[in-house]
Amino acid sequence: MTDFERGIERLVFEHFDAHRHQRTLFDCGRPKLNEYLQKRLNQHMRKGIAVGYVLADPEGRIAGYVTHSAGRLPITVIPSGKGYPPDLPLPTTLIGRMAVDRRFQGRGLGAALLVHALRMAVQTTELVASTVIEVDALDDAARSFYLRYGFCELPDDARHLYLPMADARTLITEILDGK
Amino acid sequence: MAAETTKITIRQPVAIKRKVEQAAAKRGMTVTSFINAVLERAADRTLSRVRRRELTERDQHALLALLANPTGPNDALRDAAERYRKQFLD
Repeated sequence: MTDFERGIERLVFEHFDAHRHQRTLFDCGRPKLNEYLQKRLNQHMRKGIAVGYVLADPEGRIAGYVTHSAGRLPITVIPSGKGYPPDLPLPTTLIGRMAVDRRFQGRGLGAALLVHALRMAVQTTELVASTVIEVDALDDAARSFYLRYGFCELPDDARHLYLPMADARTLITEILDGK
Repeated sequence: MAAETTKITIRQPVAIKRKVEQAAAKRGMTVTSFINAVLERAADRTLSRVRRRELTERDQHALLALLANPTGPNDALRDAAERYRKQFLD
């Protein structure tokens, strides 16, 4: 075990910074998710397409990352009962990609990245409104991960999963003291 | 120069064919150009639905119901947040 792998308690959450973080060493076992961090996230952040948060040690080695974007879902039905006005799209917060380096898998860092993503999503709603957190689950493992933490699926679409922003806000207020 | 063309052969109930002929005549179009215009519009709609990931009506209702009645974070998520707080905030 290297000092990087041992140093799980030295990890902190930061905004991804291409100058500081050593993205070329990252390996989560999925080439697409490695490549996204290594080649595209920096560009996406500069262009306003996504924001990346990394879990990194003080030397800048990345143990995991997660990304956010804003989305919207068109609503064309008339909602039953009181609630949302019809014909207004719902603003959403998208969890784009999430991955944990192989050397850290099985140690609960995926759950930590998820909580961090929810925390950032809730903080962001003070400035930009959002009704729900949505995620595009790339495979069955990702799907069962999000389902385990209370994300819900819709009857006609197995790939996308949703967590009401209200639930994320309850979590942050009750467990993280509103931080 | 006219766009390159190809053929499509479909079997059509007589009743629909009559209706299509009437509708095309009403628009002053040939049956072929009428069918092409209608098909292209339908195809565009389907494609943009996929691109924009529109929700079906059933899913829209399900999502709105979920947002109207959030159940609160489940135990697994609460436990994860407790661990997060101890490790990263305390």
